[in-house]
Amino acid sequence: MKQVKAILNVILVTALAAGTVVLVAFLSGRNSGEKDYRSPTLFAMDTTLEITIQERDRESSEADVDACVALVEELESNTSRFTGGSDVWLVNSNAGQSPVAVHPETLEIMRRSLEFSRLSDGAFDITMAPIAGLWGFYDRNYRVPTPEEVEAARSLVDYGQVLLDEVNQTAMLAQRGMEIDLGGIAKGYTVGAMCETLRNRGVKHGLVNFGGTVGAIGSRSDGKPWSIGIRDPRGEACDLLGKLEVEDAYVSSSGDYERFFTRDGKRYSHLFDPHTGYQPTGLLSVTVVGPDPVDADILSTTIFVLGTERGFALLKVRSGYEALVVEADGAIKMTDGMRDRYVTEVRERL
Amino acid sequence: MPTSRRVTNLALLVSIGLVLSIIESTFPPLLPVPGAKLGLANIATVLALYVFGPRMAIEVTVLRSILGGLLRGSVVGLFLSFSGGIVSTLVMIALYLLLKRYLSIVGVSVAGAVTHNVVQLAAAFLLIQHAALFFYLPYLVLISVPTGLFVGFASRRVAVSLQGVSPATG
Amino acid sequence: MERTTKSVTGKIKAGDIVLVALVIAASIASMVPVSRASAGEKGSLAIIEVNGEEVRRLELGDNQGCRTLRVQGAQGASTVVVEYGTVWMAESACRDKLCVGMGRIDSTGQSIVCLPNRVVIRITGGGKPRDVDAITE
Repeated sequence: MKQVKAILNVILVTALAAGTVVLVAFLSGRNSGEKDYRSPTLFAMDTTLEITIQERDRESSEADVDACVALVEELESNTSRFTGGSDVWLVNSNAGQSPVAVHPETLEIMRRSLEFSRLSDGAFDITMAPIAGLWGFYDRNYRVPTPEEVEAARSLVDYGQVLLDEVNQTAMLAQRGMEIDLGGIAKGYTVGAMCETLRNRGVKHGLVNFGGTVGAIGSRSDGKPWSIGIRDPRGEACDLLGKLEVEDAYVSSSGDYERFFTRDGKRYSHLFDPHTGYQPTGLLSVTVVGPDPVDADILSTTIFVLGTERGFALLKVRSGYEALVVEADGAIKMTDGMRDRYVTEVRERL
Repeated sequence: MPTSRRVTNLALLVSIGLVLSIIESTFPPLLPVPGAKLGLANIATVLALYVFGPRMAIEVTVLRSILGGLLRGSVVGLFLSFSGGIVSTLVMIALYLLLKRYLSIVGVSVAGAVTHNVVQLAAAFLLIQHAALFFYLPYLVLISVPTGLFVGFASRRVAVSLQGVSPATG
Repeated sequence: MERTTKSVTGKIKAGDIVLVALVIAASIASMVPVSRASAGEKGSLAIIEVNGEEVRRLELGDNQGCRTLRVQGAQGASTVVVEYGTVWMAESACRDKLCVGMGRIDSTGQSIVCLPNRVVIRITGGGKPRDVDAITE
């Protein structure tokens, strides 16, 4: 009888212990799940913004997102082409007339753009706006212009005629009719500013996705790196051609699928070669990973224009940047660092 | 037992239950299921059942659910805890009366905790109509084991100390 | 009233242990099938947001049949269709209709975004974890 009792006691204790272990494991898993916050999809700078914050209570996360939204609104009001009175609007409307005082952030974005224009020998150029406008990308009245029109617009494209005065904090375009568009890189700059704000507010695990430019703060709360899908440039929404894993890094992509129109079966995208005024045709998409979002944004756009070989060569001007490209025939190519450090899964070709 | 004594005992048990459920409500919820909680307040019902009998147990449960719901100001909460409480009390009474030879106060209390959680989840499903709730069922059942054991052992302790002041004679 | 206090001093009985063991066994045994059943539904909820505000959530079970829903976006109405566990944008007041061209989505973490009309459909819930945390495009 005593033995039976002892056995029963052992069974009871074992069962209790097993139950407790499973319970604790489950509850700890649940709790980390509950501390994940994903913002709704927000709209700014003509694109979408999604912020994920982990390991923080809901109120803090919502306050973090509000802080980011305030930041985006401020930067958008400075850098939008369309907002009357914005830095960019003022610079454009005073082209060929007078220098305009701009915010330090705007000046920095312009300075860094010009630096890359020189490094890439003009393959990247913020004065491309007249060409994008000619093809109808601003008023969405898409059209294929005549070669003469393209030539005329191209004469207004010249980063050398952007005059920055760092002392007086002014900017000016030398020629009447010139226009700048900071849309592409203001996005990267904003992602960087948002990530900095989140870090300063104490976020340890976060992910910002602003129109496809992604900023990763730390790792995921489960210790694994953030997993970033690379969009298949010819697939439907959510079709991926591969996956990256990143921690404390920025990912930016450029591709002909982002904004485009089709005429007579031909696809015309929003990315132009400043030297020709036409769309580059060598690549379908470019993805760049690196330590700074502005550089990553500029590099992905510029590589799209330059093509694989010259593009990968340009990467070397900054350390820590890796790239993956999809060529027009569907071949996928990447730098060794990209393959070794970031890519976890990728298709051979499209 | 004189009526006044009965009413006093009932009031005491109901207040024990209410205080326990208030203490319990300060803990963070264990699972994202409406109404999911440890169920410490069940001590009052188990005590009522074993010290005073089935009728007292039902009375304590009903009063505790209604007063608790009113205190928290939540009609939904009232519905959830009332349904869970009443069914689990009935199950405990049945086990207590029918299986007394095989189950002690601890086993009955575990059975009560399990029933309480399962019924409450079913009631929550009636309100929310979201099948994903049942994902939590196994975990809720598992949680009710340590809770039920705790409630059982705690009630046994209290009941043993109460023996000296047995209600019928004391 | 019957004196019942004697019974409370009783030691743990065999039935107690059997009961506890049964409950633990049943709950652990049912974890896998239950979570598989909820994961088996591809994504369980479609959330529809307009301008950053959630306006509707729709259950996406296979047995939920076909439903059509119109929401008012920034430029006009968008028509969302849910059918057999998939959801898509059937019509939209926007100009480019890129959202309509995005096709059907059916898994947790996927989304359809209509930028001009500021309407977002995204799928959440279900036992299946997100495949990727974000998509670069």
